[in-house]
Amino acid sequence: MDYVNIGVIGCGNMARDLARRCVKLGRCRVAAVTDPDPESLAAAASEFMADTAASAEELCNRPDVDAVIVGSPPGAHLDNVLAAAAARRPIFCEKPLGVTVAECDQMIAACDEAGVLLFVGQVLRLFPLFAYSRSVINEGHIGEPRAISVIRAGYGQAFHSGWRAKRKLAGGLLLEVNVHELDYMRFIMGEPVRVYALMDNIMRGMDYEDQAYVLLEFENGGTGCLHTSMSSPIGEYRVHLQSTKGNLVHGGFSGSLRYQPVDGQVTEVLQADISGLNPYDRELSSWIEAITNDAKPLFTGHDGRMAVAMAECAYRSADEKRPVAVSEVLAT
Amino acid sequence: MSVRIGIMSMAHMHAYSYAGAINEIAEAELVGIADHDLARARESAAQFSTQAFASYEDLLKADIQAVVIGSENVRHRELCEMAAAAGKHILCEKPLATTVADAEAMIAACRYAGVQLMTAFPCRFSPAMARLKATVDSGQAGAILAIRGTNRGRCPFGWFVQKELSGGGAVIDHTVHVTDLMRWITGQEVAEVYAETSNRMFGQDFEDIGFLTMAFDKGVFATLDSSWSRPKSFPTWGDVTMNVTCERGVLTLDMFSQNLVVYSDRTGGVSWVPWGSNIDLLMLQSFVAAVRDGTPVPITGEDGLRAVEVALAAYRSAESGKVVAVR
Repeated sequence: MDYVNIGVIGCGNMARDLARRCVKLGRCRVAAVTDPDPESLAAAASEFMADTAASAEELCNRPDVDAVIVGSPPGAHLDNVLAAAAARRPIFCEKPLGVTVAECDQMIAACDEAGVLLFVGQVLRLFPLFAYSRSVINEGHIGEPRAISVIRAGYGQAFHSGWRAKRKLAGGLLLEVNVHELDYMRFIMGEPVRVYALMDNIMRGMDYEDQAYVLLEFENGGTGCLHTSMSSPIGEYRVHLQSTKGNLVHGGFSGSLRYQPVDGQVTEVLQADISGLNPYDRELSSWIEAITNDAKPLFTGHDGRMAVAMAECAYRSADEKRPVAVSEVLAT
Repeated sequence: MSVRIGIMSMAHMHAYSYAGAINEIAEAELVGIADHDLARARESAAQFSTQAFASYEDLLKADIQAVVIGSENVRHRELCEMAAAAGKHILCEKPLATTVADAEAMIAACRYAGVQLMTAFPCRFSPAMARLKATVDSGQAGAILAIRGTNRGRCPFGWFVQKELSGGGAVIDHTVHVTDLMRWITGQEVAEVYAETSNRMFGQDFEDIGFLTMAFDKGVFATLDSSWSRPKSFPTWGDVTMNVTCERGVLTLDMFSQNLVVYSDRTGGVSWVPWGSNIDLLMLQSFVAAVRDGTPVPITGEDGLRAVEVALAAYRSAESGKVVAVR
């Protein structure tokens, strides 16, 4: 196919941005859009000069829709992904893939059965300092990763009101936001085996946790610690990675990355000096390449499911006040 | 499955050797050649039984996993950043870049894109060099105290003597090879450089003579003659030699001494024709294996950067007449 004609389910800011990028990459047209909110729907239809569909089913079954972007709130991913799988349309699903592992399993099974691609937007690993950190490890400069700590703190007005403030739609802070950090920690450390979490809702802006500490154990024997907050006017992002032969620290979305082997000098790179494709363009290119040329996708439903499993473990751990094995949530 | 490779620019003569090497490797395929000189792309594509692409962008859109960059030195960064953004692994001709900033940007772009960047230092693949390294590593000669190296050659002229394309003359062209070998066998970094240069071979506005004295960070010191001082009538392009003084012995290397001496009335002179190992082929084989297996390339972008830093320090020293710190 020359162009991929995409249908967009859920036309909020994020989904519109993804669709805009697909068009800009020169490989896609937006054929149809759908959203229960009339304002978002009208904005998307006029921006992309696309038809509107009354439902996800209607959109997915249009003959002029080749592939589907699911950009609805996480709580609606299941129904929308199932609709696309039933119509055998390849899918780009925003993260988190679902709000429970059980939902993820249903989506993955439906896509496998239909033989369609399920791509999950775990884009954080592609951001400059995050991607760079993986390469430093791959190149062997600091040995094997053994301990990772990530601090992500901020105050997003969007999380203190609207759909993002409701667990039913957003899933919770660990799902709506930190499924990124959990995926990044897995990207660096490998498969997780056990999770212990303590959470709080300090400012009560949302009906779920606005603060959490999550401790993780990984199959490689290493450990991880995520500190997240959505009630911090003074924001902070910090990654500290301890390896067998050195360490690495970086500032997440800005600032610099530094690493140093025990027996060597420190190397520092500024995010501003790193050139390359925008991370969102890179993930969308990978999705499009996988659809059109059968290329191996950068991440799949499995990656999305594992990140959700880590969050689900944390929620269960906080509820039951005990460490939870990842195998417990994967077994359900 | 074979590793599919494209070549970005045939400006450097080594690119021809690399193209030939790719064609000799069973598990590699030369998918095509792109060049800002379209005629050169077409001619070299015909020579190596592959296709010419109309642009670098077209080549990068083709089904390839890796590229070899053989352009003029100053273009390395641009081509490297393009290839990295397209997700291709890269083997880049030396010197990696003509400025530290360019080399650092290339390394960063490759790390961000998650692709490997290898610097083309074929001398590390010389079996004689490997034997020298193994002898040093075995400890039988004791620790290295000092090294005398040479990398002298005939002047290549062309863009090599146009600073706006090459970044310099003999020093940037020839310092990097033996500096890399010295770093490799000592495990030390060059800390300080004193250099003198001149243009008295050809009397033009590029340096054709360069002598470096280097102090390494853990005690070794070395000298290096990196001149374009072989006359046109010299029987081969040049040399790579090392004399490594150790605590309990001296090792000497003459990397290109495996040759026949040919007297030819047709070419009108004496030439040394190599019969020994093809180090370019060995280097390409190692690059192909790293791309195929996803293992780290043996010579990185940082290795390329460290060697460039020494060459640039040599220019600063020659300019100021002083010993200069490399970093």
